[in-house]
Amino acid sequence: MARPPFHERLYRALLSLFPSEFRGDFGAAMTADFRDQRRDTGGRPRELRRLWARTIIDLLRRAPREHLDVVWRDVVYAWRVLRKHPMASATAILSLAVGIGLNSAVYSVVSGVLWRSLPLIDSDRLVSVGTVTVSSPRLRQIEDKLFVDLVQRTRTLEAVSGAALHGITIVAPGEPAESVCLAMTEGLFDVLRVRPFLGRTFTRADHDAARALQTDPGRRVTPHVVILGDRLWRTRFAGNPGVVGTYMTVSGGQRLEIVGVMGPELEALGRSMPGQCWLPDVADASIGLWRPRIVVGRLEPGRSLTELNAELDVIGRNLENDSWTKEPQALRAVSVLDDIVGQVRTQLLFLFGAVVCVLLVTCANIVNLFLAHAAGRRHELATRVALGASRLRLIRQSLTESLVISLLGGVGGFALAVWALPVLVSLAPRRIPRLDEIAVDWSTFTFALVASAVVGIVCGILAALPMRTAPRAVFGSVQAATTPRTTRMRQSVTVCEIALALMLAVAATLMVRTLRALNAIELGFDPRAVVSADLSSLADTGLRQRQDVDTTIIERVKALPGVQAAGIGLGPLAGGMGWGGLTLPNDTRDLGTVGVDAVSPGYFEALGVRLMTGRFFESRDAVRDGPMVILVNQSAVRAFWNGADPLGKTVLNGKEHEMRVIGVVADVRRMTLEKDPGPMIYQLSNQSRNFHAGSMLIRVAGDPERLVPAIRDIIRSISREQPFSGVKPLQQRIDEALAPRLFVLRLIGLFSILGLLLAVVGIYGVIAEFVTQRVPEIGVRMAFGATRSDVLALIFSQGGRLVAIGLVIGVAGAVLLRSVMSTMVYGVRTSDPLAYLSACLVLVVATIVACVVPARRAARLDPAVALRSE
Amino acid sequence: MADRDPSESLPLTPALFHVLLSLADGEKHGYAILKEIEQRTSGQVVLSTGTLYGIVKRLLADGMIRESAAGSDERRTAYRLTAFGRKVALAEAERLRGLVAAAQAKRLLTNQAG
Repeated sequence: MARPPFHERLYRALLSLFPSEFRGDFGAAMTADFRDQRRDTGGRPRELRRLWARTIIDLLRRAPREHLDVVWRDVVYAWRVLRKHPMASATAILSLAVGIGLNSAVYSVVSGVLWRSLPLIDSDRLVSVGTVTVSSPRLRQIEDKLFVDLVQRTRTLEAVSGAALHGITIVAPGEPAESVCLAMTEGLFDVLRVRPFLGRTFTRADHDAARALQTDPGRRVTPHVVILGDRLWRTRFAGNPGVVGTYMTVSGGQRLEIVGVMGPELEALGRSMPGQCWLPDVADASIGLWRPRIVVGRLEPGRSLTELNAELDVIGRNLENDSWTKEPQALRAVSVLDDIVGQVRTQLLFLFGAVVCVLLVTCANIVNLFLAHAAGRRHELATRVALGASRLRLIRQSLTESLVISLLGGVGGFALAVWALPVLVSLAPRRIPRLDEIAVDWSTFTFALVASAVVGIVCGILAALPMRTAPRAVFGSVQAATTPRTTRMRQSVTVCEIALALMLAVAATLMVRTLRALNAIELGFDPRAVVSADLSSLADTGLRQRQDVDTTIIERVKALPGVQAAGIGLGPLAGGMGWGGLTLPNDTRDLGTVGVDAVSPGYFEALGVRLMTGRFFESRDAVRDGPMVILVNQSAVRAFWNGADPLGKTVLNGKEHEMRVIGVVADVRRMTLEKDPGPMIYQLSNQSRNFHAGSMLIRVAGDPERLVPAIRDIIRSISREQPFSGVKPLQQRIDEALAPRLFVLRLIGLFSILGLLLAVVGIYGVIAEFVTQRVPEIGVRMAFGATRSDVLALIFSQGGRLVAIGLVIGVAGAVLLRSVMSTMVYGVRTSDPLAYLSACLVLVVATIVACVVPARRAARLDPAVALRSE
Repeated sequence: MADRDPSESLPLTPALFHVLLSLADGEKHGYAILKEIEQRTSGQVVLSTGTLYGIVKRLLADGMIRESAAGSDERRTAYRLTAFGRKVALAEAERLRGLVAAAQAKRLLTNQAG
């Protein structure tokens, strides 16, 4: 055949813009008509040009409309199909709505916390620098000597600055309150690229004045100017725009001039740089103040974190070993965002992974549903194939159907996410940073949209894959409602959902056992009816004066009606202090780091700590310069004296201080819920020469809130500068310790229940279809003497096969992914066989439940009827 | 088909009505429809192939025209009005007549015949 002329080829090329169906129907006629139209122009160039212009514009305008027409027809058709199966469609849309809704909500949390950049200019170039050891990979603050070294030697950082935490008590204006300030070296705000919201930042003169104050030993170290953070400005100064130039008074009567207010963007630094105000400071190791600094730097443009860390390896080469753990230290940098959110990353990604599993199980069910629909419409499909519908056309139809369902599900899902996201945020433990930045926004919507589109496309294609129906294969048998290919696809997706559901169930089981283990922890104290009140230090008063104030307060609180016992100390689950350098007489052993608390008489009684032997502290012991007496915990008895009775024995603190043991108490969890406290000694708070423990613990009969005004009066009558912020139940510390895992458990529990339900629906669908397919076969078997139990065995073996394969894959997946859970479990190993077994058992039971209805139907078949259906 | 109410299809787009009109006096294939419309309107309405077959597709789907075996050769299909198509065209013409009458009653348009 001769090649058609150019103009005809061009016209045909334009026609390819139209849907294939339209082209098939009218393409030839259109080409012929165009040829005639062209001939009519008589080859006159002007008319030829006009014809082409008109035709091209017309075709370009029409083609999209024709496509839209096809899509619309497909949508209408899909809608009709869905309406024909209202229950199945509603189930699919609802389950997708739940899947997409949960995913969107969890995604919003994950992306809001982990991925959204900080509200600071070029924040991806901001890094935190600190020291790490093998056992504590979290950055620790660094001392001035190293900091100065870093500032001088770095070539990778464009700018670097440091800030030391500095507690102050603001006594005016307003009620006395504790506040954390950051004593910053020059240039911190330049590193962060922030400008003050009001007023100015510190000048060189401010920093020089700070140096002068520090080098003059007669002066206090708090300088004379301060910059407020956004939160402090709003809460304490009511957002007063005229605050710059006014003064605030800190304990001791010193007045600080407020020279500036920073904007809210710095609040995003959260725990990486927690400060409510800033003071000028200088980094100079020769001053001799011990002030470890949080260090933040800005990478030179084009330099990477890897390059910086290589440089830090060199700068930190001569670091001494950690003084407590004796481990080698290294200087490290991480991005500031990592520093803020690094601790919760695994947990959040784990939850995201789990919720994606739920969505995958949902998808499996959608594919299953389509395949069931397609099976029911096999004749119709075959007819369409016979009438010339291409395979592509069938896939397009399947895609449309699937997209209609998934987009409807997506709409429902977005609505659910709008509702669920605030709930999720309110359930989240407060230790997750940046929670207050999270809200439903366009990213939630985009995610819901993209997720539903992806689900629709993937499900549509999967469901269309087995439709490679050649017409002749279809018209063959009336009975065979499904092809083997369809059945295999349905079984495969069901196996996948069983595997996913199992993985979720394993995770849930591990979390349940973790929570149970945490709840079973022997706390060593009785938190019921105990409240704590914070008596944090007045930063600038002397230790002895402080101890006297405490003693007076405690004695008067004890006398209040309803107070059964009261005492001061660090309290449990509130962090702790450690001592090195303790020894035993006539023993060369170094006792290592020993936990220490400085407590007043009444402390143990208030906490409800069990006395093992000896006695608690009494008022007569609390003689400041008298003989030093201590209590020890059981771990100390084992570690120091091999479990022998320690009463009357002594512990040496340094050379001169001899401390005599007068009692042994049960181990009390002091740092965290999970961590064994280790050896611990309790000294009397007014015999301590090192520190002051600022928590008052009160055991109360009745409502503790009733005590609050009386306690406030007592505190005010003793010191007008003492902050008091009410009482908190001790149980709150336990709840806060449990909160992160409880959050994970709640979500993973919800996800695994959903996964399980969806898997049951999926298994049910496949088994029910199996029974329908096998009706004639079952009839034959029964006619030849098969009993009901034989039939049941046939059905259950089918279900059993699916679940067995699913369980094998699921267990393998769970084992492969177990390291993800290792940071979340406690008291149970991630490879715990019992967790896997019980999860498998749950799925086996679920499978049996899913098989029961179809199996009963099969067992009740009348052989005569069944045979006739052949 | 016979039960369908032609007025449900109204109003027609001008192009669609032109196509129906050009088939009113006998079956034609696409090119002839294009020519007839162009000549009848003195070149004021010129349809292109894309628009024409978009209309043809719709008319076929709505049962207003059908393919005519008699007028077709191996390259081209001819189309003819169905009874329903004729009714629709008539109904549209009546509708237009009503509009013209209204315009005359309002003296917007003088009745040239009268």
